[in-house]
Amino acid sequence: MSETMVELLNVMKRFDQHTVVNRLSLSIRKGEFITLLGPSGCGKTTTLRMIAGFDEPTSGDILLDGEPVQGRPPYERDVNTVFQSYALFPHLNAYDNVAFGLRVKKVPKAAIEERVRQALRLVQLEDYAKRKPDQLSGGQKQRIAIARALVNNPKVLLLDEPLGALDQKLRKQMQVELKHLQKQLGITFIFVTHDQEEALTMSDRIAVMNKGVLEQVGTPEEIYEQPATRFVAEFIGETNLLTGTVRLCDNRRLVVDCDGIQVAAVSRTQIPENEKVTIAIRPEKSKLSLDPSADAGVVQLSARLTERIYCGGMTKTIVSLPGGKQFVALEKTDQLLPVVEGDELFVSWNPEHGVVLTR
Amino acid sequence: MKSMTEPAAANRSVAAQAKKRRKKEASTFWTVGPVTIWMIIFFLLPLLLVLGVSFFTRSVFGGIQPPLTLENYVRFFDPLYFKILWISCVLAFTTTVICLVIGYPFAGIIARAPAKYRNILLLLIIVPFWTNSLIRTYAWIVLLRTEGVINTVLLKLGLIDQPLELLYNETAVLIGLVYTMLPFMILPLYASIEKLDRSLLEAAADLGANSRQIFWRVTLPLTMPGIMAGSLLVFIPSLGLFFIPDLMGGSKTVLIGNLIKNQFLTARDWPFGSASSIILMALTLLFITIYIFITKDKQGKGLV
Repeated sequence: MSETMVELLNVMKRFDQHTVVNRLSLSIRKGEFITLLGPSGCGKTTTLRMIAGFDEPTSGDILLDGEPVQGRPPYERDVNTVFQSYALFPHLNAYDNVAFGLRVKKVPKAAIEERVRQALRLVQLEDYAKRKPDQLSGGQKQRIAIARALVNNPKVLLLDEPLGALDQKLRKQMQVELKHLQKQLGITFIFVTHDQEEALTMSDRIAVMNKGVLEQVGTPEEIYEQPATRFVAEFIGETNLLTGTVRLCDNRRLVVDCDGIQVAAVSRTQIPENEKVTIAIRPEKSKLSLDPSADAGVVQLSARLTERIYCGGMTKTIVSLPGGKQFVALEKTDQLLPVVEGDELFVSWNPEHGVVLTR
Repeated sequence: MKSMTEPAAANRSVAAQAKKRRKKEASTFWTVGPVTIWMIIFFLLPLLLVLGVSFFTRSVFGGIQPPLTLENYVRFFDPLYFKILWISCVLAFTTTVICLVIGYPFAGIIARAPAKYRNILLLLIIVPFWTNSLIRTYAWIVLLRTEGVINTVLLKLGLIDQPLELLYNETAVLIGLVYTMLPFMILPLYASIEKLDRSLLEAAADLGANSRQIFWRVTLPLTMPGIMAGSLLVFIPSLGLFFIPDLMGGSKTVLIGNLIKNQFLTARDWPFGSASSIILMALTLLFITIYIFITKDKQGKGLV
């Protein structure tokens, strides 16, 4: 019994001349809820399909519970998939859909009956057993698809954008339900989505992918607070990116020249002078004020108000920095500064909160 | 004054509405009308004619004459004609089964072929229709007869000592029927296999089904409308195709289609030929009803 459930080693996938997944190595722990996050076409679904056995890697190895699964067809792998389109069998009712996997494995009848009932109870659809898929709502179909996969007691459950077709409210509700289900059952979930918010709320860990390359793996906090690359910083949440050249580096304390603006920052590693870097500052980490701050320890820039966007409790305030660069900050809607478009104000943040990115 | 204008305005609006309705009726007439007229002239009237003739008595010179009688229908229930009907059904059924067995993998291969070849393959299925089916049947005779292509080649190769009897038996009729009817099986099968959602097959594999189980539990039930439609499209015409048994069966095998043809052209017994036609048509209707009942395909979607 190893602690690792799924191990991807240097996995490559090419379609014709196009590399879809490039040297992906990822170790997924037992009982973990991991999300593969990335824009469409980043290779996350292909990765999932390779674990399921629908696609074979061009090179590299996939280990399931310590065993290599190379060449094994999907029906010989202890994983089950919840498909994006649900892929419920239209000619079978909910009960028979859920029973499908057990029947083809020749499980005794009595055991099938009990396990299917249990699975339907798990997704709270016991009363819908006789309904055909076209008599079920989107959310119900989704749950049947989950029950159909879980009834087989897979070691790993693969979910390919399972909430993509649901409306916002149902989606939120299903996110919570899925998370509870995963905790309750202790099964390893590999969840694919392009929705960063979904990834942040549900996952134990997130693997961010871009153009077939794994950009960063970490807890939602790590991914959000300490993005490793520009791509991650931009893809997850809203962020301000200031690009410049390192002018001074003193024991990880940097001064970066961004188009004439001097910005102080703290990096996690030593960075040589004259190196190109990007500083990422989350809007909620910055502060707007009418008067310059007396605190010499903060980064402070003068700016002009460009636009305010009402977002309910918070208002997104866009200001332009001296170089013309746009910077997004947040204000509480009931505590807006008494300024109008074009007025001068100051934006400031703690240098510790500017994440220094070298790629 | 006011009280005078109000009814007048109401009258005008009623008139406008009536005009609108007439306009709508006119457009309905012009869309549905021609088809209806066409169907009445070329389908309903001939059908009524056949139905009418079937109740008359054959005249000495092959015409029809009163009195009106049910005799023609009673005559059909003679064991001789029943046997013909039975053999026709068996042969049509066998044709259907063979077409299905050959056509299913055929349609499957076309449906799964790369998109750029798919249309070419479909075209190749349809191309034989460009040649008259009578001519294609003669081509089979050239292949199958005693001094035909197949026997000549086999004799030259020394594989056989004397020519095989390939023509003028039931097998020959079956070959001819299967050959002629196969496209009618492949096309609806193709349509239903092509429509099949690939992710359902993946889902089945994911749930532990091997390829045999996937076929029996997913592919086959989901392509059943195509199977039923194709079977119907093969079975019904197979009952009535008279020239294939005539040419390839050497008139030894009399089928219901030949019976009807012979009554009109050879025996010149139009009333009995008409009665046979009506019975065949009733039988066909029965099969279509069964099809609709089984597949719940009330609009006949699978058939077009």
